[in-house]
Amino acid sequence: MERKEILVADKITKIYGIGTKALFEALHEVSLTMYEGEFVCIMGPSGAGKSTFINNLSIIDIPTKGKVFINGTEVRVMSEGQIGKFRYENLGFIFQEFNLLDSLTVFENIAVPLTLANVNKDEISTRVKEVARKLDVEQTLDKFPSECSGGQRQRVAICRALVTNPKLIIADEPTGNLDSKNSHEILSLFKELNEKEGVSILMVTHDAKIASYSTKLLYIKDGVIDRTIEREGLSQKEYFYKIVDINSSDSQELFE
Amino acid sequence: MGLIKLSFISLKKDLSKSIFYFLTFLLTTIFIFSFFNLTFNPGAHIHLGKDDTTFVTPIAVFVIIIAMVCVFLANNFYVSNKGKEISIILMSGASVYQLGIYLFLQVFIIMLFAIPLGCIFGYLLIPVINSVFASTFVYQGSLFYLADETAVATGAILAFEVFWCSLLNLGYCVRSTINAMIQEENKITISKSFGHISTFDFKSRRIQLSDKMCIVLYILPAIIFVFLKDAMSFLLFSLIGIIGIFGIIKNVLPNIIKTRQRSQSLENPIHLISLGFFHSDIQKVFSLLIIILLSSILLTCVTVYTLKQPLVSMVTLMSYISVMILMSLTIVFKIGMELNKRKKNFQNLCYLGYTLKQLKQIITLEMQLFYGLILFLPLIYQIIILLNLFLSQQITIFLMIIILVIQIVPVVISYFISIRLYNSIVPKSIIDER
Repeated sequence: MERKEILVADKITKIYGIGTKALFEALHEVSLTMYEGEFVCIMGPSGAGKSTFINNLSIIDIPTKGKVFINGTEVRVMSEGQIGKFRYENLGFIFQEFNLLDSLTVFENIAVPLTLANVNKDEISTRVKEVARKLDVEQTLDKFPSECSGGQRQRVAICRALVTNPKLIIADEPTGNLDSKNSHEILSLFKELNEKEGVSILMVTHDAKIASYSTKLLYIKDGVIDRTIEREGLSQKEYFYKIVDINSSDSQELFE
Repeated sequence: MGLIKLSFISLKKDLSKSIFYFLTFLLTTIFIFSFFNLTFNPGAHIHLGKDDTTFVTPIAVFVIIIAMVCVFLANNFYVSNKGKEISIILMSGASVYQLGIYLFLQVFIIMLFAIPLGCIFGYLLIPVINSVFASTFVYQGSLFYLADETAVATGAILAFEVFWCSLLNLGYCVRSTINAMIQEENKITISKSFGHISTFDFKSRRIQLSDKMCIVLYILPAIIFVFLKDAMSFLLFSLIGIIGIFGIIKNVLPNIIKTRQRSQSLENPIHLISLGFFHSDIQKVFSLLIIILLSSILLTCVTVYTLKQPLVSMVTLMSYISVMILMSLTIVFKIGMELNKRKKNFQNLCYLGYTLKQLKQIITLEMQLFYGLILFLPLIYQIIILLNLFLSQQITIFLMIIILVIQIVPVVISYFISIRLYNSIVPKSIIDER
């Protein structure tokens, strides 16, 4: 069966500081095709362009050159209103800092994308409770984010990202602020969503163990994709060792 | 480089951070100067202190406390904004004593400009105040009278403030860890300073007032005001109303917001976020809200109660102006302090799919609710009291307009300043292009 493309990046280049003396090319003609149901992880050293890449793929930023297509739609040609609508209908964002609104309760935080999508209040209530139950944060619905633990807050952020049933989840260091137990739980959840519900995930991480939950890994270095590994038939342990090898190759080169 | 030189350089570089501090000091100086000059004017026949049988002494104390709270807040904001700078100096080996001098010098320089300028403005205001006074009440003293005691009393209060602020700053450096200062934690907040006010819980066992009771306590005096003829009764019943206002802000409003957010507002992306921000604003400036609402109502009642003592009434009006301007400025600044956090919120709302137009609608609604609350809760009382007295020919239309202008103008100006400040933190594009 032919796999459906969900995200296509065609030779995207990102240059910062245009019009100034401090020109810096963060990405150089990077291309990527991501298929529906894939769990892609992006790794690389600090300053390699990981976050720039993910931001450009998810219309948080726009590339200086090249094109990005999400679900067949080119994002550069969209108006502000269309981008807004596209975001809440197709994308779910998860960040390291959780990015929840402290002034809203957990229930309201999860409900925001549905409110934007003009869903009626009864359905909002049903869907929020359903996703909260699935992620085991039902008991925190009336609390404010400041009253929740780090793990709970990240689960709430995931609920918010999932509540509209988006085509693609974008996660930038989602476990960066969590302890190892919570990180493992969150990643198991990602894996389950990916495998059982077919949710496509694009994630940036520094941690090889976290990356080993993905199905494909892109290693970015100096603004280009240096290497790609597919998990295919490998066990998670074997895949993890491959990821560690890639990550340590730079350090090994240093001593040669 | 010596610490003294570094102190001057830092002050020069961070001029924008000093503006609120400077403005607060300038206004405080103007008000204290003008206030003392009027109360020490023999033509005014006001006996500040022991012989005072009027409201002047408690009002004087009240105004000075308000002015000091504002200076305290401005000082706190100024110093806690310098947390990173202070921590770097500490890490570089400076002692707490040296740091105290470093901060004192900066505060001293700001005051060196603000205090003389405040005294000059205060002096220039003397004929204006006396002219307004003469046209409103019976005043036969010199329009340009400057009391000898004015400079001494103003100087004493301001010197006390400088000493107090320096001591607080030193305390901040001593008790804060370097890490806390870098993270800009450990700030002294007005709600902590007035903790006893915010912890006075209507739902506690001691005092149990339901939401309905709070609303009744607010509305009942407004109805009674229509039938009252005695000015003293306004003051007594307004005290009941203040308990109602306290309950409304503390419990009723948050409950209404919560209910709305779970019902109609859930289908409105603007209302959902605006109400959340509004709720947060109320909590963040709760103590300041109570002070400004209490001041508006009480000072209006005292002004009309002391009408038979025109000079006392004038002092009360002056106090009312001072409190409204200082508190409005402080509230604007407190709101401004929250904006750094909101900047991230707005960016996040863009990621979720909000457009720039929607963000501006959120800001407008939130600010309308917030300043509407400050304006209308006391304004309803004021309009009823003033209309009642005007219709029974106890006050002139001029005095009625003056009181309403004092209430409305600072709040409306604060609203526009806040909107302007707020719009400056909205992302320029929903695309986070850097």
